[in-house]
Amino acid sequence: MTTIRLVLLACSLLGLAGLPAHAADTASPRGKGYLAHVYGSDGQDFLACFFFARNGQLLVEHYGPVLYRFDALDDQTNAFQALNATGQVDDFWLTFHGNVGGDQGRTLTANGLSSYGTTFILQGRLDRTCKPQQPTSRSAGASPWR
Amino acid sequence: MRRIGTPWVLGLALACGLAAPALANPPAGKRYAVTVFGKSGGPFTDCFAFTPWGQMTIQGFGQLIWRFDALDSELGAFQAAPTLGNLGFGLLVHGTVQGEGGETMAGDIATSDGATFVFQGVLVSGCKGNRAPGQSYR
Repeated sequence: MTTIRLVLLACSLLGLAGLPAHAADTASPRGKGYLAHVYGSDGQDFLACFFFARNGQLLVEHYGPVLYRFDALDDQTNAFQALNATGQVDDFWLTFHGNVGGDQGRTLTANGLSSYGTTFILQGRLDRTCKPQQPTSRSAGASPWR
Repeated sequence: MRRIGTPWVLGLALACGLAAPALANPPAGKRYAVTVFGKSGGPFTDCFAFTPWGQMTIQGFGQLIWRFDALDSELGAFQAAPTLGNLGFGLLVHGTVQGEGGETMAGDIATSDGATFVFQGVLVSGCKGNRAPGQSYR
């Protein structure tokens, strides 16, 4: 009986020890802004803010709003995918797939792809100055994403 | 004429065998029979075809453009986006392939309507889906 109690105690302690790791796994970008360094396959290298609104809209600086969802049928909150919403008026598409990591999702890494075939990699960190009011533009020629 | 010895032939065959998976760069040039699961609605089958020059055809949707992750350098992890000229509805696909020859794949799909899907597939050269284009992801 004592042995069983010891095993149960050990399992409980191991479970508690595992909690911080699990908490880190559930980090989410929702409601947060990130400043990311973007590298493009066309040689471009620029900074851009990404704000993940709680309504599922991702505001991409120098481009505009796209929609985002989480991986695993919108359940895996530390991994996201983003693309233009239905109803856009031009035929240019910008898509992202990425992850947040670290304590409370402080870091962001992602891959991007445009309908021109340009690929991007993003490395960012949580930045409270990246807010929804950040100016965005979809004007042709002015965006480094195009 | 000098004869090539058996050890040389065996060595050459072994080298070619080892190099083949790396040269194949899956999923480039391959077709996968895929089962797609949505948050609402039952699973359905589809066929994903990847050309070596960066075009992807989803039988239940249409044409996409695809590249590897990490600025098109991370073999085995891919992303796909709608092509220029695609107005209105679009898909984003992100996935990974597994196995030395890219025998299996798995990943996530998001649509411009906000729906999400997950998929699992196996390498099948003559795969066929069970949905017509436009019926599966809306």
